[in-house]
Amino acid sequence: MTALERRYRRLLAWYPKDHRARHEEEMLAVLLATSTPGQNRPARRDALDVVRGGLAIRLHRVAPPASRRHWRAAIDLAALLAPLTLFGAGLFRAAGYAGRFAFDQALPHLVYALPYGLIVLLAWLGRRWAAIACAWAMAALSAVEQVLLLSLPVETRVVGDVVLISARPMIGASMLLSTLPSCVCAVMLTLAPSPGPGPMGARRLLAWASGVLAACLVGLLLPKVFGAVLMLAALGTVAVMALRSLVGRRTAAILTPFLVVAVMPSWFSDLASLTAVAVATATLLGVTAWLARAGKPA
Amino acid sequence: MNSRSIQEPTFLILTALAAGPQHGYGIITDVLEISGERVRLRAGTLYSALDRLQGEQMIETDHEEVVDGRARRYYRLTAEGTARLSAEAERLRRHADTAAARLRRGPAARPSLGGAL
Repeated sequence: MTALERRYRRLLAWYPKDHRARHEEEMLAVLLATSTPGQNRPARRDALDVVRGGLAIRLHRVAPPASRRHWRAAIDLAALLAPLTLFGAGLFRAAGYAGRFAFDQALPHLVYALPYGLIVLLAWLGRRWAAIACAWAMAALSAVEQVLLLSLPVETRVVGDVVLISARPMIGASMLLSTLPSCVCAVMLTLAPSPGPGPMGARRLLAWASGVLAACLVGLLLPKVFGAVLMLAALGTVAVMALRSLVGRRTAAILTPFLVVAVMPSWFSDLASLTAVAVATATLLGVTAWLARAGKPA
Repeated sequence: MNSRSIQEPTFLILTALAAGPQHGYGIITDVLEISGERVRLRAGTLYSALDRLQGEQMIETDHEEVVDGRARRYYRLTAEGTARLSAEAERLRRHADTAAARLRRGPAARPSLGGAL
């Protein structure tokens, strides 16, 4: 076996096992026939093409045409649920501040939540481009806000009669944490071919979303343990219902990193874990967008 | 029948097979010739396209032979592949005819919006 053949065989390991068993010798013959005399290693473009071909076959098998329809419905639904979650989380935080402190403490959270309500409405009404524009505007605003905050060395918060002053550690992490959910939301809306409830139906989605928000708001009024149990029960019920359907499972997979960052920001205090989530989310969305591509021409 | 248009490399692979069964390297050289040396298929691109086309039942294996100790597989068009290629060729021909006819008539024959503005 020549060095060139050995190297080509190594590259063919990118192909699924059954494809290799059937076509390896044949592909090798083609690769060797198209090589130049004296060549002892694959040309870079040929090597990339072999790897790309292997990945294309693997991805095509992961997502046959029927599965692509489910991925498409899932990213359409996820693109509606992302702003809906930011809207709901904003209302929840506002309610929390209003209940514990005063309404003026809740106001910034309410102001931040409302544009996401508008984005949900626009997406729901089929105004995709308007929804995308608003989502990117919110992402840009959030980034600008973080850049402006960089000029302030300390953070001040008024809680009741007390002014809390704290240093701003982890500027990078805090910037990423604050801008990541709004950016992911904008990316999802941009990638989704037609954001909407899809096969789930508008009425069912509205009923479930209102149910979860109501459970979370009621949970705020209850003693801490009971409130947490009620919220977890509501979220758990939704998760179980979602995991029972093909589109639901895919939607859950798309939304998981986003939900973790948007709902539980306190889990991510360091830049490394946030960067990992950002990279995982970008990869997930890229693959999903590829899978959801509507009827790729033969 | 699927009415979506076919990408150029796929169209050329199907065209190469329209003349009769061919093996991988034969398809590459034929596509190069058909395209006037413009489309040079590489092995990865060719075999991922062949895998997809087999999945869509547009091509199938015709026969195999062993050359220099290596299996050489010949592919042929199926009835579905023939129908898709013929529909696509007809679509492209109509577009080419329209383009040629309009070019022959020249810009003067085209309706102008100048007077309406």
